[in-house]
Amino acid sequence: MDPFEARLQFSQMMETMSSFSQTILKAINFALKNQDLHEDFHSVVLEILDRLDFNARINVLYFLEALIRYISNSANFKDSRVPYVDNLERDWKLILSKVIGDDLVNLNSCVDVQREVERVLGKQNRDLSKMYDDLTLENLVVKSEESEGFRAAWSFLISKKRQGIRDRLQLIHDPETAHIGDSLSSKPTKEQILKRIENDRERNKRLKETNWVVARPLGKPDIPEFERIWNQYQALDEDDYLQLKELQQVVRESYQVL
Amino acid sequence: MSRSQDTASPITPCSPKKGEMISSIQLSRPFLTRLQIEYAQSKTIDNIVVYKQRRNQVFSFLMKVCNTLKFPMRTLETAMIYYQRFYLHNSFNTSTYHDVATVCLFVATKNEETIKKLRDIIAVVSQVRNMQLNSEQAENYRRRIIGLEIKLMETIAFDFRIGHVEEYLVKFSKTLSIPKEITYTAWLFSYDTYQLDIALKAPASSIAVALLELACKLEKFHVNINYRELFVNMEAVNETKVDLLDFYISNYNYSFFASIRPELHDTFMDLKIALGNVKQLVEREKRYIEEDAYFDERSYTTGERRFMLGNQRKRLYNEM
Repeated sequence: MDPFEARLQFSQMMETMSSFSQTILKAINFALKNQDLHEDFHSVVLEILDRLDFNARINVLYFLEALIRYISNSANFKDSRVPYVDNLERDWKLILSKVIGDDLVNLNSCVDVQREVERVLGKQNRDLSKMYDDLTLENLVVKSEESEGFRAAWSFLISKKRQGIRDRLQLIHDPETAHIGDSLSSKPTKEQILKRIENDRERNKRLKETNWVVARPLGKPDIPEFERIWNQYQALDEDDYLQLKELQQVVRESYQVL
Repeated sequence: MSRSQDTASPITPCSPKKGEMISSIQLSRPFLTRLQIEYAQSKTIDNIVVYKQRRNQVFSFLMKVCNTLKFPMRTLETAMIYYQRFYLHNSFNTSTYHDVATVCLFVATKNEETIKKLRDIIAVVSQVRNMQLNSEQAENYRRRIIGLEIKLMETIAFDFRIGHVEEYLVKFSKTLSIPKEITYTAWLFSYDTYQLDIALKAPASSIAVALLELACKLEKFHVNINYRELFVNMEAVNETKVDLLDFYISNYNYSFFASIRPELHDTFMDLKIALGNVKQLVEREKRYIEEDAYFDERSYTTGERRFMLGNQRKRLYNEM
């Protein structure tokens, strides 16, 4: 495929990105199939984020998260040069700032993605993550100024949270001069809100799956699966005995042989 | 003491007059004896050999689907139980048993809270079965499965209480200080018990005790399990042991356990001999089973149908 056409297709995929796993997987496959063009696609992402509404922007970010996870779990990239990931890390703060925009709607989701991406890459910044959590209505003194990769992104997220809290305080104490009204033009429509609910539900459902998925590389049950079950249950407790007693009753009644 | 047979179901309180609605009550009886199962199957299955062959096939098909969708074993096992219960009361037909297996898996995913959309399950099912479905065919297939879903749920009388052997294996082991390695062996046995019809006869707790005792014997670890304390039924424990050992003695190569420990081929005969003649589930005379209305053909058209869990029978008597 010639680069121009690939770029066009990729940009269309980003525009129509949804929360469904099929769409995300399709885009990941396309991105990896054309990984020679990863620099191009990176710039497509940066450009397109300026044009999308807040729902579409967060969908793109979740796609990037899935892409990074896919690449770092894949055995194909263990030794060789890894596409996408380095560029994304370098521009991560820029990407988040575009995804969040002025209205802060996507702030919480961005923090989730940030934590997940750091975990996947084994580059957690627990100090900054905690600093973010420490920032509250009562505690605004937290500050951070970092300039590299994910740490810079954290500094940015912290500053955004501060901004949000400040706006809220001003709205509470001095609603007249609060500049919240300025961004009223960007107030989400009902349609956008419903779409967001739908997307979040879909993502939440997928997240729940991680509680139970069991990979069986051998195609049959194996020791790791047993380990998990072993750790899942404890010795019998009072409720268990009650349940066992009830079960015994059910069994007796069920045979009806007496 | 024998209990009068009108307690079994379905019950038609009085013979219906023309145009009158018939109502019936369907009890759930999740565990049956060997003779009861054989009697029920004799009414629904023409050729038991074919049924058993297809059962193995369909279980390995379900295993493939579960591997692809990454379901835990408990979802697969629940589906395997539903599949066998379905054919106690519905006639077995070689052209639709894959659909029945699919719906069993679908209901099992809900029961085990490993939710997947039916569309996703069907996508994998058609892939495993090499069926090329376009979107319209897939949609029709989905509808067919949903139609079967209600039939399955009526068959099991909406009884979603399914115990898991794995749960009791771990809980009992931790209570009785049985080493983890032995529990692992017992856990490997458990998959084979689901391939047989043991789960139709014995509850999960009894199966777990039987498997732990067998695993301890195999690994020469001494354990003394007090059945009464664990509220397990000795006959059901013995039934499990005998069935599983018989299966290993005659068909070891087809078992799942053999794929992990092929070298133990000859040990199970010794375990069986050591077990000796034990008391298995009490069977009633055949005529009682034949009189039991529970095994009558199920009607899916009766006007009003009520479903009850077996241990709610007292309430039922009071109402009558």
